[in-house]
Amino acid sequence: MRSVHANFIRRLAKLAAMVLLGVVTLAQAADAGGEVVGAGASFPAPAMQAWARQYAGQSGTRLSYRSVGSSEGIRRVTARSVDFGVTDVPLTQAELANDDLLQFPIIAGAIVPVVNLPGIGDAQLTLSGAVLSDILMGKITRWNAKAITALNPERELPDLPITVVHRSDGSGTTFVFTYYLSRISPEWQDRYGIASRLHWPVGIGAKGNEGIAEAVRDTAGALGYVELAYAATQNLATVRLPNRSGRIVRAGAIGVRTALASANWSRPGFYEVLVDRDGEDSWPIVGISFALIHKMQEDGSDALATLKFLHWIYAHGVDALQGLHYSGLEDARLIEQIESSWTQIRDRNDRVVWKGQP
Amino acid sequence: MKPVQARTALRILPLACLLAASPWPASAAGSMQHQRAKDFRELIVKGERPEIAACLVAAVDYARRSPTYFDVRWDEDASDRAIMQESESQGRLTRRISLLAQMQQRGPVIFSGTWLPVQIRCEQQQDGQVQITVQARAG
Repeated sequence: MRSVHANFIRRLAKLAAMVLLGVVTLAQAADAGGEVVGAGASFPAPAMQAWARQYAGQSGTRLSYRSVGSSEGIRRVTARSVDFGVTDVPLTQAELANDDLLQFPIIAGAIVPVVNLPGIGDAQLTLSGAVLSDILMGKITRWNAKAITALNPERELPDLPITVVHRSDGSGTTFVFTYYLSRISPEWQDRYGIASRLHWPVGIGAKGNEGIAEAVRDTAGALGYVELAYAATQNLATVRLPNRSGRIVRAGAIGVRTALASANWSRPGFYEVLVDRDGEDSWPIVGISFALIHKMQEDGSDALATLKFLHWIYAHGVDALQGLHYSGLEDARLIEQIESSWTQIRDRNDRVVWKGQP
Repeated sequence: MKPVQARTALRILPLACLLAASPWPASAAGSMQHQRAKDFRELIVKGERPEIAACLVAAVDYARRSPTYFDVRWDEDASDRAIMQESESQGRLTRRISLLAQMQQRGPVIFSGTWLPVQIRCEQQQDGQVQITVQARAG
């Protein structure tokens, strides 16, 4: 009886020590400061993680980025539970003004249809925008349908049902993907339009780019859409598409850079969606991730830490993207314009937070 | 009826009338409609589609100011079924959103108006405010 009692006391003491250690660790983490917290689009998450590693090494400031989807990123920055949000759904000036937000682009990348088809490797399958939208509307249901085999006469396509995998969360990748479908297919535009979240006619839902990549990888006959980095990570077969100039192209850095060169950054909040752009090499579905930050900041030093990180992205971030399939922003005039807009950010004493170089 | 019971009945009569006139249980067709947050920021925090939130707010403002309608409510899946289109002309964007809702007509007594199925159309020119039109539709 006594040993049972002693055991109980020992366990209780151990538990108390663990709780105390946890509290101390949390308190230390809170005291440490030097942490910038962002959340939002899963589209740029691999780039954010690469940036976070390098930036922490160079500056000593820790960056924590939560890949939760664009809508959730907008929600969290609106609720002021993060230092900055990231969205691939650009907000209009009226929407930004509703919540005192500043928006500017940070990175671009290809959104690409991906498939899991026996015998079909990367960039071996070609679809057209019209056929893609017919599949997503449930009008084409098997891989050996005439409309698909006609575009791929040299391939033996399996007699498999098509399983569409779409996003279940509010997603900027979905917004840009449906922007493309609306541009290409009048029927898609009339029936479903452009949406970060929609009532999909067919398919199964998955959360985040990560969720779609995993579901496609695990489902024979699946078709999904992800940012190119996720396709590469999961070894998924990407699909080739015709671009505006009529060339059949595969997703890649050149295609993104060509589309990016056609961007019009003159709109308020740098609002831009890069689909179906001119250019021989242009990839037709390019997503842009935008940072969102409040103009009125309670704590100027927190805001400054965020802006220093974002400044670092423009100055050094491109080098950290090697092999990740993204395109960083390199246009010096655009970057100057973006950083000039940061002078609108003020602390609670109405002092300008960003005064040029850190 | 004893006097006390009669007094009680008289007290609850206005409430009973109000409940009887209330359209919530009676007029909903199909899935139950619900009221939404009426402020842009609140809509976003509650997880609304960001691209249609301004249109939802405009619809609420429209109903508040309208001499015909009193309030607005949406089907459970109205936001997922809302259709947004965007076009560009000479570098300027125009966004159009179409969604289905119900608007309550103004009646002789507060809350007494009938809920009518309507189609809401929002149009927003780049930098501009949301312009809204409301059309009755077949239920």
